[in-house]
Amino acid sequence: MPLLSVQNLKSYYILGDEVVKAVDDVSFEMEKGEIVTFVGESGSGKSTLGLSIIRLLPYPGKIIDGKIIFKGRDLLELSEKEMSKIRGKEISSVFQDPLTSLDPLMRVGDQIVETITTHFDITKEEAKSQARKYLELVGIPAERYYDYPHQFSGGMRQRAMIAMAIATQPSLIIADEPTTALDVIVQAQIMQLFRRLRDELGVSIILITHDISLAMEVSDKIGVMYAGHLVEYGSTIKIYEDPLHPYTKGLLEAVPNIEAEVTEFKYIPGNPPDLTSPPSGCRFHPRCRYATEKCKRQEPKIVVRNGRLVKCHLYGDEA
Amino acid sequence: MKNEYILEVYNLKKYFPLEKSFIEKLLTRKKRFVRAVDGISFKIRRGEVFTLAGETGCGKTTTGRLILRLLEPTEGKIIFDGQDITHLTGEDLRKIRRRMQPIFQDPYASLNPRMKVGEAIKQPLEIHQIATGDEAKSLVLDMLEKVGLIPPEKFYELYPRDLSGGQRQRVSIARAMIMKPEFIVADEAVSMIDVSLKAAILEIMMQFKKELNLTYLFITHELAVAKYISDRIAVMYLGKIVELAPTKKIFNNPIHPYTKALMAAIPVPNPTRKKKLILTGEVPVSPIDVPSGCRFHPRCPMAYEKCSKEEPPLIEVEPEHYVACWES
Repeated sequence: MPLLSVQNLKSYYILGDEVVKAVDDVSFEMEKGEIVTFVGESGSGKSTLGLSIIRLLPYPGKIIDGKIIFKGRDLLELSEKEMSKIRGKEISSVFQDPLTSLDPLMRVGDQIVETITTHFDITKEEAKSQARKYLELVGIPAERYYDYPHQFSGGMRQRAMIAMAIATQPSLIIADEPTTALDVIVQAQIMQLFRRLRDELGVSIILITHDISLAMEVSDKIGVMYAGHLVEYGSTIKIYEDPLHPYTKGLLEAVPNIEAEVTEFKYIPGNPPDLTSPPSGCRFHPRCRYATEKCKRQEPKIVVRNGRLVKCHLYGDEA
Repeated sequence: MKNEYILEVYNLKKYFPLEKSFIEKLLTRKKRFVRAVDGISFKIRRGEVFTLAGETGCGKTTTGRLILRLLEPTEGKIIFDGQDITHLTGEDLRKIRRRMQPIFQDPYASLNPRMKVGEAIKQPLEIHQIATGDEAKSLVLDMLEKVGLIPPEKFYELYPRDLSGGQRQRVSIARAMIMKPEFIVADEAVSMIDVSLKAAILEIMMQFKKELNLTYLFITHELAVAKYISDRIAVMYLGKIVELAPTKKIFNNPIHPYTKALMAAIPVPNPTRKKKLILTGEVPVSPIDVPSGCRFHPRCPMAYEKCSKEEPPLIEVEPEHYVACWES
């Protein structure tokens, strides 16, 4: 049984008579212990996907349809009370800006203790010793238990957030752009930490990022999102060696690569679509070099090709 | 005769005084400073793309603002096309500003939300009395077409809120280029642009370079982007230039341990690539109490005693390749 199975998920933002189809019919599965990265540009729906899984879509966002099966239970069937036992415990999250999630008036260590005592029935002393252990695990010296968030650098704050995220012994961490506000050296440190936590604790990680290079470096599987659709999903190595979807190909060509011999500028023509009125058929067709009449008319089905999911007419309609 | 160098910067410094709390004011007399830029020198050749690269707090943006004369330098000299502009004011400064245009990171912040795109681009023409009326409008329409906002008649009438991030940055470029400048300071000009469009914006910037024979000072934290367009790159760390070299040399043979660490940390879209050594620690939260000697020594894997005592000068280790490190 996969750890997480998302089936035909639709999450829309409904503003009067305008409907933004931010996540539109997305399905994927991930196994225990995997690092899966969802990569996409602004407005692709990747953050909405992450928030949908923990059922924290902000107003006017709404999950319209689909299933989110986590450890055999459909999260969309649970009451809010049942969901709140899973959220923050079995599934925890790390966001881009740790300052919005950390309490500025509370010692960092005490915040971890609070998280632990909320979810486990243990004494404060036990929780304190666990908090110290988790701080050390993420690379913060235990003596900084008594520091306040403002005494931490950006990277240390993100480490503290990660300590809180693992303190409830989750099966899954959802990390949405966790290093986007950090410098590149610190980003590399944090990514190394995520991989180590996966190896040592066996925790599964969903990483959400705009950076396909980062996705390539850290993940086992990659999901490429475009305009609310998951256009390709599969093993990182396979996607690297042979990207199937024209958008994935375009992204890999366009990304500035420090190790490549640069000869010309490559980019995808056109602009990302306005999701209140997405293009007909395949949403990528106005920017696609392979687009045909069919792509304008008909939305492609998701098919399995070469061990992965792809949503493109180039690969036929037959499952 | 034109000067070979369009811009020369000598020993440029900018210290920002630190605000003190009331009690601190009573207890201490010494003023404390953030040494944002702490004595840097470089020359930019006419027609080249010169990049200042580095992480948050390295002083790259402050340097750009000093050159644009949006900030007053604490010390040092800025020479533009042979003329000392360090303390220029009034009409003289305005004349220089026509020749030197900025493009900033955030087009949301630099465009007036209540002004039509066309009017925004036209405004500098009118301020500097270059063209008015129909003549100005046709110049604007030409410019909109050149930056890829087609049909230009439609985009002329739109407001910034009607545009995507990439389109807004095209407007900022049009607004800068309509002045036919000689020198552009582009501060993180493509950093917020989605990756599928980044190269498109860079291409437009480089087309203008050809057409107007422009020189660029390109400021970025993205070394991979810098590689695409730069002739030379200077890497900054805590207010100092630590390495300066032609692009090929700095990528093929980085010498300063910080440059090496920075390059090793940049993700590469290749899952089979072996990760190089990752530097520990972080850039100090703010460059107030900068480390003694070489500023990088507390994080440097190569540091020895001398590094904590004496500041290494920027010296030429091979032709055109400058490094500030006692080990080099």
